[in-house]
Amino acid sequence: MKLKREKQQTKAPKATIRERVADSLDASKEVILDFAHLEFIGNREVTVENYKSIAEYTEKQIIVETNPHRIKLCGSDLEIKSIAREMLYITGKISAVEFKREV
Amino acid sequence: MSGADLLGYIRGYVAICAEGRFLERFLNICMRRGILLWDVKRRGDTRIDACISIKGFKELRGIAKKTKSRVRIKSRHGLPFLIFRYRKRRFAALGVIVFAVLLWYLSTHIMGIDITGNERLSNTDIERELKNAGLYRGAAADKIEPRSVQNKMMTKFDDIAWIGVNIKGSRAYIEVRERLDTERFEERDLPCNLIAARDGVIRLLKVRSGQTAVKVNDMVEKGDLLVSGVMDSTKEGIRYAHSFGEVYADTEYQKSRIYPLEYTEKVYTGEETERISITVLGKELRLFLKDSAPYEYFDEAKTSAEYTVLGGKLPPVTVKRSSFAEYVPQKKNRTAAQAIDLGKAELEAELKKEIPRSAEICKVSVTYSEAVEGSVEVTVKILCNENIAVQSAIDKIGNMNYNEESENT
Repeated sequence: MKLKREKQQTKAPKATIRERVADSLDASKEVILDFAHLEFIGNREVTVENYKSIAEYTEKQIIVETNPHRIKLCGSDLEIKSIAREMLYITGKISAVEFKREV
Repeated sequence: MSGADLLGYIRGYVAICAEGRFLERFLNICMRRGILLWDVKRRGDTRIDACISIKGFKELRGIAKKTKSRVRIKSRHGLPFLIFRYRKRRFAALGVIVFAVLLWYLSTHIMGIDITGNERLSNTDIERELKNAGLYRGAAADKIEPRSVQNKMMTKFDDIAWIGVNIKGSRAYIEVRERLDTERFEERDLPCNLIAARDGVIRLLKVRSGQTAVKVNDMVEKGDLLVSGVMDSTKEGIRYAHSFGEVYADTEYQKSRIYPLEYTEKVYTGEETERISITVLGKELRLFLKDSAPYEYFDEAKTSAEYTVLGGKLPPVTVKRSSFAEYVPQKKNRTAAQAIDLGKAELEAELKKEIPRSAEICKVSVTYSEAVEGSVEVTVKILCNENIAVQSAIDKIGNMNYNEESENT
């Protein structure tokens, strides 16, 4: 896994083979690329699918570990409505989303 | 995904509060083990409130230890806790079971029979035959085959041209089509005799149709032929007729009883008790533990009344009451004259109930004899004048011999 990640990082600006395969197959990318799938309803609700873990949880910000990003959700009155293995359901007033490559 | 829905309520859930410094880790471990958490609320730096299923909660102990956090239950919700709280209320549980059984019974068994379309046939006749065919109140609805019931009913009643049996839920709808009147009319023309309904002496003949077989002042016995529906003439041969008419005869009603002069009289104490039982769907439910009278000497009076519930939507309820009146027997003496008076009144009243209303009472006579020492035998005779003719159908072949016999006499 680690090896792979390094590989991806080096080719970061270019589209990877996986991405190109996904493009050409016209299939849903989160399945083939193993990315997280985020779905927002305005700034009130967000569901995060295919996540790894919760790194931080406060009312002001929630950090969710996904592959390959670490997603930071900022806002106020953030609340995790439910935690299941495949899905995270967060409500509150979301003001910012940030994607960070794990170092 | 919330525990507030019905399924969550049935399974039960707890609201917990977790305190510790590594609560994110706590959440992640829960997630990895497949323990569902919902309504997770952050309460400050070291506390989280959440809801969790009962099953998940049992697994929390290890996780809490691992993450050095403390888990407390804030509140419990759902059916399992409710049952636990009321576990000692056995009769409430019994009530729930009784309710469930009743609900099952009432919804899978026939609770009412609606009969429509019958004009000449009575509901009670139809219901009786339906019962023979397997359709009655309390019968299991899914075991009834409408087609076989239909066939049985069709063969049982000639008068039914068509019958529909529909079972909808716990009600049976019976639709009856009777034969048209023109079809029936032939039956009214069927040949028949008039025979005597009682013993008597013929006084008046009013025969409109048929051949009269008796004369005025003839003695007839019950079942004797009065008017024959078979006419035999040399010109036309044997002809059958639907005979009708009236035959008035003097009839006698008689009753006698022995009245001892020394007798016991019932002196009522005024004490009375009632035993009530309720019958639904042919099953009797006694409302009192004891069915018998609590007295040594008593008179029992039984009454029963049928009530329809909700305009016949539910099966009828029969309430039977038997009331017991206590009395003390007392020995008494009476004179012969008193005994005769009593006997006359009693027997006359009883006889008058037997005499049909159309009969005319001509004479009442009382005779008495002291047959046995210390008692009087009273006999009441009532002389009436009434129509004793009743119709009796003849089937053409079988009646030939009978007819010849009556002609010979």
